[in-house]
Order: sequence, then C-alpha cells, then structure tokens
Amino acid sequence: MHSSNPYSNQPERAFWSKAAAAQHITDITGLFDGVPDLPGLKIATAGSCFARHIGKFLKSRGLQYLDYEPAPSFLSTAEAEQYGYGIFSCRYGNIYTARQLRQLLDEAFGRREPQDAVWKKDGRYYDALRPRAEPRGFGSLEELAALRAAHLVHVREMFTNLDLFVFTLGLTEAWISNRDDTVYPIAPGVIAGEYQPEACRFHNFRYGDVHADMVYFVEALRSVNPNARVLLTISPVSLAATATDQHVLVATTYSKSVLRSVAGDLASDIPGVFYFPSYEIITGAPARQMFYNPDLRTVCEAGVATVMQHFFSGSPSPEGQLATSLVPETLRGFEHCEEAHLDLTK
Amino acid sequence: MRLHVFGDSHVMALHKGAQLLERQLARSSVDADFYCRQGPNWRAVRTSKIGQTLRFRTACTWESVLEYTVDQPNDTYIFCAPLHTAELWRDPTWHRFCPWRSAKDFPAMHPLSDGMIESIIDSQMNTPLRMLKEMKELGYMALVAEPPKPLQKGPRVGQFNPGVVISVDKFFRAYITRRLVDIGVPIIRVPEFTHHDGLTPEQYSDPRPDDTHHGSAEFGAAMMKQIVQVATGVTLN
Repeated sequence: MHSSNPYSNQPERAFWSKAAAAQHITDITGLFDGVPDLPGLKIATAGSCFARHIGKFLKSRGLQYLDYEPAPSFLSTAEAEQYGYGIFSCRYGNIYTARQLRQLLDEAFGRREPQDAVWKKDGRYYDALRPRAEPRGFGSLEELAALRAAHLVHVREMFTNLDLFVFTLGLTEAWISNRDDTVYPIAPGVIAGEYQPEACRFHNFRYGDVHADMVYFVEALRSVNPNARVLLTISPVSLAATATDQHVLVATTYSKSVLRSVAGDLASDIPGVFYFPSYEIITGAPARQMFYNPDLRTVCEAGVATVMQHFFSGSPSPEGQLATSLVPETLRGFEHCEEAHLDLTK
Repeated sequence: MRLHVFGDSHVMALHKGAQLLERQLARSSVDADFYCRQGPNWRAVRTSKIGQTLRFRTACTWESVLEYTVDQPNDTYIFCAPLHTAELWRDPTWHRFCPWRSAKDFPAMHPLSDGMIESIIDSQMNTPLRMLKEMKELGYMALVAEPPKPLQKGPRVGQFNPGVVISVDKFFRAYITRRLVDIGVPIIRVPEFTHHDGLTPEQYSDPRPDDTHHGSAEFGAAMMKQIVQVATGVTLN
C-alpha cells in the first residue's frame, strides 16, 4: 500500500490534535507501554520528592516494593516519615541529582568514602548526605558514622537484590564540596552546616554530566546486579529556588529539559532502561496546569493518582486489576474542582 | 512524717512492701499512703492549679479514672512513673532494632539513634516530668522512685533478646535521670542487691508468670526502706 506521506502510517497517538488536544488528560491513553513483568518484580525507589508518591502507590497496589529500612513500630506514620522511613526503599532521603545517586552507589560498595559529609548545628552532627534523616541530628561523630554505615549496608543489599530501580531525576543544580567533590542534596547552611564560599561550589550539571553519571550508574548497578532494570522519571516539581542568575522559571525549564533529554536517550539506548512520562502527564498542555497545588510547584493528590494510573495502565496485575482507575468514575475530569466534590456530598 | 506514694502500677509493690514493714514504719512514726493508676493515665494528665493546690486528672482515662490532689506542703511526695521503662522495651520494635551503642553486640539488628529513642521517651514521659516541675515550682518536696530493673523472665515472656532489653532500659534510665537532674528532682534508686547484670532476679520479681516488670512484695519492702531513708533520714530495721 502506498503512503501519501511519512506520517500516514503513524498511529493515532502520534498526532497532537487527536491524541492530546482532543482528549481530557484523564482519558489519554498510550503514554506508557509499561514495564514487562511488573507484578513479579522486586521494586526499589529513590529520587527527588516526587518519587515519594511512587513507592506508596506500589505498596498500596500489592507489588513487591522493597523497604530495606522499615520503621520501628513505636513511631507513628508521621513520626516515621520525619525520620525518613517509608518514603523510599532506604533512608537516603531525597536524591536530587544523578551525581548524588552515583556517589551513593559508589559509597555503598566501598568505592568512595566522602571526606566532607558532616554538618554541625547547635552542637549536633548531621549527615550532610541525608540531613533530614535525623531531625535532631546526632550526638557524636561516632554515632553518625555508625548509623551511616548501617544505612549503607541496606543500600548495598537493595542495589544487589532489586529487579527494578525506579529513579526520579529532580535537579541539575547542586552544591559540591571543594574538598572531595561530594555532592550535597541541599546547600550547606539551609538545614545544618555553615555556608562557606571557599568550602563548596555551586554547579549546574549539563546534559553531558548527567548522561555520563547515569550511564556510570547503570553500568555500576549491573556490575553487582546484572539483571537490574531501571525506570526513569522526571520530577514535575519546579525548583524552589535557583542559585543561577536566571529567573527561577527559566532555570527550572533548563533543569527539567536536561533531565528529560538524558532520560529519553538512556531509555532509547540502553536495554532494560525505561522512561515513564510522569513529567509530561503533569506539565503537559493537556493537563492545563490543573495538577498543581496553589503554589504552582507541588503536585496535588489527583495529579499523583493520574500519574500512577498511567504507570499501571501498561502493566497487568496478578489479579488483572492494576489498570483500574484510581480516580472514582464520578470524579473523572473534575478531580480538581471542589464544586464537583460538593456534588458528591448530596 | 507523711509520705504520699503515687503513680503507676509499680506503686502496688511499694504498697505490699509497706505492709510487710508495717510495724517498723509505725515505730518510726512514718505514715505512708498510696495512690495507683495504670501507667498510660499519667501520660495524659492535665493539671488544675488553685492557689497552692495541684489537681492532676487524666484528660482521657485508660482503664480507671485518675484524680490526684497535691496539697500538703509539709509532706513528701514520691512519684512512680517517669522511670517506667517497660512500656518502651516491651515494644515489638526491639525484635528488630537495638540502640546504636549496642549494635556491635547485635549485628543482625537495625541500630537506632539516641535522638530517636529520646524522642519516644519524651513522648511518653513529658507529662509526668511536667507534673514534677509544677510540684517543684509550688515548693512541694517531690522524689521519683525507680521501678525494678526488667525482670529476668521479662525478655523471655516477650521473646526479646535480654541484651537489647537491658540496653534499652539502661538508656531510658540514664536519659530520664538527666532530665530529672535538670528539674532538680532526686531519684530513689533500686537497692543494688535487687538486680544482677541489669535484670531483677526471681526473688524480687512479681510471681505472676507473665509479668515482665513489676517487683515483688520483698522488692517493695527493700525499696520502701530506701524511700524512707532518703525522704526522712530514718533507717528501718
């Protein structure tokens, strides 16, 4: 059969007018082909704050979500979260950048020993690589070191045993120690520590940096776990602040564009690396910005639910129920309209 | 001299001990009354202050109503509650976790930071410590009586590692001791002979087979002698 142009044989989802403009965001399908054999996989998560939601949904759907550092039972759920439990598969806190992830893996397997990873505040010591894991900090360096060593044991076990690593890339901007190039999750002085311009530097990772770090990570991960697969997502949460001289909106677009490009290229180039378009679902024009909270930065619950609906849509569950909508039928299309909820209370 | 012994279930052993010491107490003109409510009540106490009188009540009662009045400025109040460690060490947490300081002895367990354990102890004991502070501010003589160390059978009943239980108990007592020192409230320690290697032997343990942390009448008597000695300077023979 003769094609009149190169697009003639493209499926419907290739055309913006039909697949995007004419669809309500909650009706759009075909965004994600799913991860093969998802229900049988041992899944671990890490990344920026948006990644927190993914683990919760995986757990609630009965998938094999790995939690190598479960919370002590005497903590309430809220208390446990304050100590970094139940958020990711280990208590590493937010891992915003590819370099952080690379350094964590190297540290866990003894290939890296950070020399500049302790911050002080009010006489207490903070693990600079996960400064919120202990809200009160530690009483001594010895305690900090003991708890970090125990944490790394679990990180090592996680990387060794997982089948699928879900990583949400969040930022390109980071603060780096001048002493040993350790990348911090947040600038010194914000949570703890002291900002000393001569001790650290700001760096905005570029495409080449992020790509190289992620390739390194995937190779290093597979050196200890040859069958490991990686699912990449990009956090749709904008930068809270930029350290560049640009407007934060411009800086956010740059950062997310770099991360999105790297993720797409890795998924195209490396077998067993996937890209899940949570970023497009939340930020894309079909969503009309309705998945953002009033701060225009964080994502509302309905947005997370819609993202996860797409996540599961390509992957049948053991019970055949993973594709079930997470949004009640009566709310579809009106998830973000308070008045629609009022109607439900009648 | 009058002593008011009040607080959690550990008061019961002190009461039984006082009964064993009835004649000695009478000879020494030491009079003691006892008021006991289950431990969780003391963590939910609200205080009413009218003049020099403090009235402690539970906002929401647990098993029994708590209403206790402190209004005798010339007497001594002995409070049992702030050092009640069993609520913490009996938590299932300690099947999988241990304080980081003892992690070398329990390599299969997850270590917990001092700060986290302290925050849990605070959540349990902030109210009893606040009560003591209120008593001190009004000039009442308040002392804290230490409960027995975990019973030897205690870890077995809950299938805990005895070493972990001892470590948690020790940590708890040391931390609350520091807080009591800050408030300025003395502690009446358990007599040395009532414990061995951090645990209370059978002789000083409540005889009920499933009891993990209460003292026997004999323990109560030994402890009452300490209390009377510290509070009044009188040695009971």
